[in-house]
Amino acid sequence: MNILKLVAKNLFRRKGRFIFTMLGISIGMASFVALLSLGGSMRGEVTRQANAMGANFIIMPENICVFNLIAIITGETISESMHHETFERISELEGIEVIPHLTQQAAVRELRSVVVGVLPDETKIFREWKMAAGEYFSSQNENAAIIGSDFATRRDLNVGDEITIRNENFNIKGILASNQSNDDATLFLPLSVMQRVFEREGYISYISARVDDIANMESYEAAILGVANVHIATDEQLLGQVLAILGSVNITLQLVAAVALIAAAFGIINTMMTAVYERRREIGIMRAIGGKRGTIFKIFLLESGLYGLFGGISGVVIGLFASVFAGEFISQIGANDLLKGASPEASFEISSVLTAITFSLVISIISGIYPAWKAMLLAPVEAISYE
Amino acid sequence: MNKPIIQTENLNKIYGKKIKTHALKNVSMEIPRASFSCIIGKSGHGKSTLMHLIGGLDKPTSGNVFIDGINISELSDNKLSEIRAEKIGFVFQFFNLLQNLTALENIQTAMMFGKVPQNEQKKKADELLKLVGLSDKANSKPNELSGGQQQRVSIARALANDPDILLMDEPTGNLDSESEDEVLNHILEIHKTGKTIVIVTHNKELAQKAEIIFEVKDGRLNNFV
Repeated sequence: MNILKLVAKNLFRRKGRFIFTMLGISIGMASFVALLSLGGSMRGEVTRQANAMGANFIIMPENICVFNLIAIITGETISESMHHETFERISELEGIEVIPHLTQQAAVRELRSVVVGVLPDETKIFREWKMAAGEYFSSQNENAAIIGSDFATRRDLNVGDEITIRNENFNIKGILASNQSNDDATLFLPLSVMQRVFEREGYISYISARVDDIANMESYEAAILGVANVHIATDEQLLGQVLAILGSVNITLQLVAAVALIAAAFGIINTMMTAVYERRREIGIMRAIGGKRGTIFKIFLLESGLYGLFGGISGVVIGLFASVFAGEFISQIGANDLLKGASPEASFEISSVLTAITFSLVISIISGIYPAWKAMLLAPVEAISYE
Repeated sequence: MNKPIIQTENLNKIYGKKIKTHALKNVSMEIPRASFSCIIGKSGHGKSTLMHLIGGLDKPTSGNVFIDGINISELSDNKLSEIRAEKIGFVFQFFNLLQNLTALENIQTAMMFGKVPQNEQKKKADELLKLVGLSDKANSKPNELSGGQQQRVSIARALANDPDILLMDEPTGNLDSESEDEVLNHILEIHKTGKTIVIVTHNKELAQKAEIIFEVKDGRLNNFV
């Protein structure tokens, strides 16, 4: 006989209570892991999207709000816009390659969709697009749509299908080959068509820019600011700012999960207190036959710790599954594919899994201290006399 | 007569703070090594309290208890636990076995507290079960055993760490007469191996078999051999 064996026998003798208490910590841990994992995958996805934009920097309306930076990366509508002539002035500068974007949202096949107006030829070269099916725009103002591969799958669209955007019919002319960016989940129209359909003639949302010599970034910035009142952010700055916002979102999510964990911790305290009360006689017997106070303390603390260990392991597993499904769900209701890449391997590393389980263990051990202390202090004679 | 293995000096035990109950009054006694003693008395006169004090389960309000020359009234809780594990074996009226453990595991648990290495526990516990005639019940839980069998497991558990002293509180008080005889025979056999046996009982018949009889009356002690 050893303490661990004794504890295991105690733990499993009331299976129902064991399972329900463990579920408490398990659910707390699962929400913690799921939210952490979602945060992680958002971070990964944002980084990937930003890299896939193929731009060195982004030129935005001067008074853009910092939260709109996320919209640029994810392809959401931006509240501010700039004049097309600003784009034209910048495009005349030497050594800078620029393409304009006008982003809006529309319902396509009853799903919220990101619609982006682009200059067909320039964008195809800039983004290095390839076709998976059908054909690309043949002119700058063709009344047709090109869609990303995920966009097609999710809405069951094929080349030649007709869709309606703001009461105007468009044929799907081609489907882009996946480039693992937000383009996969977007519908593209020629810029002039887009401006007309959405009644934004003469306006664009932002400009992607690429320069020949990135080391001379400062001089390019000066040149751009010389011809237009705009806000310029390099892709790194953009990424940094977006990640900072996501960071604060993550902390909020983790605080929510922490509340769930605290509730679970009280569940353990409650179960252990009940166990101490029910097993007063046993504690007395163990003390009478030579069990030291420290040993009784250890027995109850270990029991509590095992709740944390089992709860932690099952919680991490449930949480990782939940994060994948939740990611899929959120990406469906929220037009963008920010979370579509959520997967356990990508977003939650082994070290984080171990940290989560250790965290659960520590919480349950802390929860067990008070009940174990109460058990330890029981006087043997009082406990034995208890009927 | 042998040197006393158990000795008490002016033992007093008062329960309660507002309403005080003087359960034991100046009890001084000596119990020789390897003897068989009985403490008799009516219910509520203090005989169980005396056993709890001798066994180190409770502390006296004043006075001293010596076990094998050690004043256990002055010991820390940890030291007292060690004395209980190694020098004293307890047998209770209601058996007090751990209900979720088998007969064998109950004995092994006592051995764990007595620091018997794990690889020796099983063999020793099997021997003890054989001694009380319950080899075939090693894997039975207390609720699968009769009262007499449970008490025999409890005796085996009391012997787990080969203690010098066995303290028994009404060991036959909860048994039918057949089981009572069986348990009593085991106790007498164990006494022959040189263990000091102290039994608290109000069973006069059982007391007749003892070498020394102490009577507790109103918290005071009379002893007659």
